[in-house]
Amino acid sequence: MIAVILAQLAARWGQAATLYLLSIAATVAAVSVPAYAVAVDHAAVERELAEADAGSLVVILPPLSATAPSPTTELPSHAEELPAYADARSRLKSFVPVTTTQIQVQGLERGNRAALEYNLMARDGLCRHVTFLEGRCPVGNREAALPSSLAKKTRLGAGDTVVLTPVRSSEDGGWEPDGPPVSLTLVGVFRANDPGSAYWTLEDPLGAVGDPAIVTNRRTLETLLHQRETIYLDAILPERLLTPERIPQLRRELQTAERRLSQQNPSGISLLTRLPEMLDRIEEQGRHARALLPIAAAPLLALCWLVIHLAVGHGVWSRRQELGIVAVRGAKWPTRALLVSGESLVPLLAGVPTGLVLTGLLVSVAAPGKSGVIAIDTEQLLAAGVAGVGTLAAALIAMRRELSTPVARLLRQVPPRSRRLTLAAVEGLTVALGLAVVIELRAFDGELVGIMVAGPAVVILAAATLVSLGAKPLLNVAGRWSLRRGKVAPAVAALYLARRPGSVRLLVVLALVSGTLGYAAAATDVASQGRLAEAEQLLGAPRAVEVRQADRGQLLHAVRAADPEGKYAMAVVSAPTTGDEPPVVAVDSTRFARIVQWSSRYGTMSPARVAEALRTPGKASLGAREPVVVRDGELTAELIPDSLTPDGVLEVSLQLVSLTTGEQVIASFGSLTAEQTTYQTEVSGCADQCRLAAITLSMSGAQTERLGVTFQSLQQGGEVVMSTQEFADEKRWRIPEEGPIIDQLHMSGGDDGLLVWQPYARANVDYVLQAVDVPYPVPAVIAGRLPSKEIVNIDGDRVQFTQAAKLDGLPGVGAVGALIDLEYAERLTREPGAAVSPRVWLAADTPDSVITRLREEGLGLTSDTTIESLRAETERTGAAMALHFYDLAAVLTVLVGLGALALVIAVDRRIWTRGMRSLHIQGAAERTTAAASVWSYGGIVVTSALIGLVAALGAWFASGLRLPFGVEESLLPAWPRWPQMVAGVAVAVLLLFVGALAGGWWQRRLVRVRREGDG
Amino acid sequence: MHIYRVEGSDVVALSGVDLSISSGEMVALVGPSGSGKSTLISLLGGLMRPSAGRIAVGGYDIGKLSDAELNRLRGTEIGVVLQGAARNLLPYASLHRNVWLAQRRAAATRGIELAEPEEILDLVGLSGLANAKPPSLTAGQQQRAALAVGIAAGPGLLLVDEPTSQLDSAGRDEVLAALQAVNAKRDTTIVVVTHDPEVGARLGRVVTIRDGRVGAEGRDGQDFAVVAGDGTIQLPPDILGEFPPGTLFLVDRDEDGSVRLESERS
Repeated sequence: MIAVILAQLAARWGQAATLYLLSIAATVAAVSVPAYAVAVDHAAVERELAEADAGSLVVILPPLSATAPSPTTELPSHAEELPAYADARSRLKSFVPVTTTQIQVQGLERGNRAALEYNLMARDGLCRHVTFLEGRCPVGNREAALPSSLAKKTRLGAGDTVVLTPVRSSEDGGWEPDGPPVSLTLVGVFRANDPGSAYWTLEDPLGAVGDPAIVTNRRTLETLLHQRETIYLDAILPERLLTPERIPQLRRELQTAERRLSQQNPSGISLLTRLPEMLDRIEEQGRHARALLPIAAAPLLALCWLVIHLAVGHGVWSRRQELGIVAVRGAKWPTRALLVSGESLVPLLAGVPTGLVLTGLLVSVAAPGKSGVIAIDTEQLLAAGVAGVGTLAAALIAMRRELSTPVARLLRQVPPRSRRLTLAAVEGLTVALGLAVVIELRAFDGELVGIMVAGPAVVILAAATLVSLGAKPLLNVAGRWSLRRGKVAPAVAALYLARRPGSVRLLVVLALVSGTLGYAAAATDVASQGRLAEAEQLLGAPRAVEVRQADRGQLLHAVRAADPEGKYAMAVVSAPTTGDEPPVVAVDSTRFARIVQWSSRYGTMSPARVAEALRTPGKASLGAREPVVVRDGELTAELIPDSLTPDGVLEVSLQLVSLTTGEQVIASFGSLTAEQTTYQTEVSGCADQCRLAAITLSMSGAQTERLGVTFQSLQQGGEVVMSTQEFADEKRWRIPEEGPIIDQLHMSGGDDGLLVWQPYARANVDYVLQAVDVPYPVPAVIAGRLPSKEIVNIDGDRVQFTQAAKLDGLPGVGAVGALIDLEYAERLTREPGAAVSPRVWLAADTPDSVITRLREEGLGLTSDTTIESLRAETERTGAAMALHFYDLAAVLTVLVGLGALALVIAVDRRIWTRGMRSLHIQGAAERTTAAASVWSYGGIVVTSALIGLVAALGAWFASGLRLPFGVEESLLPAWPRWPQMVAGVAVAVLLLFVGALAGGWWQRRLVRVRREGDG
Repeated sequence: MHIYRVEGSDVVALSGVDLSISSGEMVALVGPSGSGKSTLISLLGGLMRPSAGRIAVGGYDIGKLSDAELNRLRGTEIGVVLQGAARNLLPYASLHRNVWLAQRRAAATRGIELAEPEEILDLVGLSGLANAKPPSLTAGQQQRAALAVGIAAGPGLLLVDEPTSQLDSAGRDEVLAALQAVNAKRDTTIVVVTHDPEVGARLGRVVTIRDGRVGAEGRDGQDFAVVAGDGTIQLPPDILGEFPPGTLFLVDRDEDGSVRLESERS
């Protein structure tokens, strides 16, 4: 039988090759899902390793302190937890253990610098990570080496001898001897081979952060008498061992080590490492990709199976006579089954392993990153199995009749009536399934997970079927219309499409090609727009630079100074919100409108109106209040402590903030007494004016029943800075709402001024009354629904806000959160402080001189990001990388589509040539029949392309925004842009059209050959 | 009787056929197109089932056999050669392979040793062409190859449909020679459907099927009318043409025992 099947294959090798290629395509479509996901995993690892700092690969155990009652060389034995810690670290089997033992010594330098203390450390593997500029590695007892910076500083080098004394910090803040002096020989001076590697992120002997250290070996430290030392048990994960496949193992090792550590110390001391977060990020990328890839692959897989079904069906149908020959000889069922199926199944089954192997190569070419050829794993084998079973099922269903039909029927060439009924039922079922998917996704908010990953494919199929069924009578009408007008070629084409047996299936298959491509183009375009919108929203401006460690006020003043006209640069600070609090971003609204990257997605308001809402220009914006401003010089206050406040325990001070530098100045009036009402203080540091930020009441001495004082006036240089009436206006003041309510002040305005009191005053607690010189509650432009009437201010305090406007989204914030004015926010803070995420938003046309001036103003700029660069970064996310799978899928889809078209043309050749011959006999010119060929197959392509586009839109309507793009849903446009979508399909349609023309030419040639034969 | 359905109407293809063929006999079924010859041969081969009546082949009642039994019968006892040589041959397989494939059922069922494919090809005059593939053969060779496939399993009954219809006289003679060789050497009963009177003459017994029944039978050069199961006799067409429908006959027996038909006109 094998010989017979081989003979079949040899005789119809074209058909076998087509099935082989289709099976490969189906297998690639299925296997590429897990393979591509692995490639995304690898790319995610690459990205993390490229972007994360070296410290991310380090695991640090809490440092151990060993203390002995007297100087000893056996100090580690005094660290009771050392065995348990070492055991915990030993669980990190994939990591390289690095132990560092460190003591403090004095005496490295001579003269008056001899008292400077240095670390003397012994660390595993140090000599492998350095290059010795002088001398060698300190391997012998009492040998040491210096980093080049320390050698230069101390003017010591290889060959020098130093006498070092172990020291420890004393209670008085100084240093005291910890052991007898010891003489060490410096045998080398070194520099790090790779200062940026993870090895140097541990206790730093190079002095990049802090002072450099003297390096020795463990033997030297063990023979050195001392009482105290610190032991660091660390571990480093080699980069090469961070692979997607090893992530579960790494997690297990970390968890095991953590458990061992918590057994030793249940109080909660744990490993210090950022590795779990890194692993989370990597796996998250993989999860995003895995959610999207099956959705992308399903239509292609469905297309492949459908074409395989048709190809096998047509193939088996065309050789029914042969099968009849075998059946008429009384062949047993196995023989018959082998002859029916062998010719199809052999190439189909051969395609599965080929596709499996080929996928690794294709994915390595198409997938991002440098994953190389993806090794075959269990998931891929499983996917190949699924593809194989599906392919087998598609083929067996196609040949089911030929396997069981009685001999007499096999010998006839008439399609059975029941087949038409079955087809109608299948078409009806397909449409019903598609409808069910649409209802599930649209009405019940279904998600594209599990079996629903096939949802879009089902909808494309169903919509294509429905539209094709509807198109059939229309084509019939068009054909008749053309015929009546004597347009033979288009009439033949239209009638051919309308009346050809299985024309609906043919249109559906080809529509599935353009539908798949259209859906892919839509997904790619929407995701691209979404990522751009995300980048715009995330960055907030066309360009942004991050600032290293800046004070909030300083940042605001520096940016304004660098760009006094407010055309290019704007200071931005985030509030230190936690995960469950809505983000709050403070912007300099005086220049917001000019610089922000605005989008119509945010709402109908213009950025200028948003800026106005945040802070109305002019005095009115201050809520009818000007800041209380003082300058250098004597400041006088009228203060009356209440009768219950003991004399001399209440101290009143003013917190002032420089208007130009943002620095804080404290002006204290000292302790209040009952006899005195006028108090003076000398203000210094406010030459360019300071504003009153807060009044602080503090108590010296023990707890008292009550502290209270009435503020009557504030004067400077003979002028009233703040009158009694102004003091008495309660709206000018705000009691911070942080801390226990018992520690909050109380206030009451009256004719005598402002009475402030604290009924349960405690010592060493500052009771603060903040000056309000901005509208309060602070105006905020919000997006989304905020959980309360309070938001977190830029200093972490909670402040009340009033909703100045509500939008659908905010730049730099997102779909939920608030924008506030930076200056207002700063004025609401109790004291100056470091800004959280300090950054400068820049206009697109910002000249370099502004950047230079920002630096000149003392801002350390760390990163420079544009929307485009940020968008490019988001292209490397798991979901974005998964979308590139469509490139591979598109190529395969077009190839399968061409295969389907070739199949149709081959199947139709007999009936077509017969029909064209009839036309010739009836007097039609060759030109007419040639045109009919072109119109027919070209018509199939164009009609199916249109149907496919409609189907793609239907699928998009049902499932588009359910696709896991990894982008906030509000940033995704509901529909793709037409040109992008059509362009995605046009190339494929063009290729198919060329294929159709080639098919038409071939048919024409066949007709001509047949006619010549007749002649 | 065989009735089939065309466009909602029942068509009686065969009715009242009463025909007995002895073992080892060679019979030609002749008759005009649509008379039911091919239907009869399909019924004999078990490719169709009779709507009524009984067909016995050997010891088997064809109408009562299951599909599987009919299948086995075609693989062992009955050889069928369909009209058109190409319809009997797998084009991609050599003649040897075609014959071998036709022997599979018999080999598996009976367990007896079958003739080698080459031997069978020799019998039909295709020596040396065992490795040839059907498309490379002449029409006559193809028809003989089809005969080889039909007799591959050593059937007792060989049914052949129009074996000479597209052959020239030389090709026809080769095929007839092959049929006669098969009959002679294997004692195979052969039923041939043909339009060709020459073929009928060469086979010895000619059964004429007209209007779905046996109209006449020719033996040893003489044509006989046949009394059907219902007692009717079909007159030869040339005689029948002389008498319009409704003509009355007087049937009388002569003294010498012969039966005489006398028209009322005479």
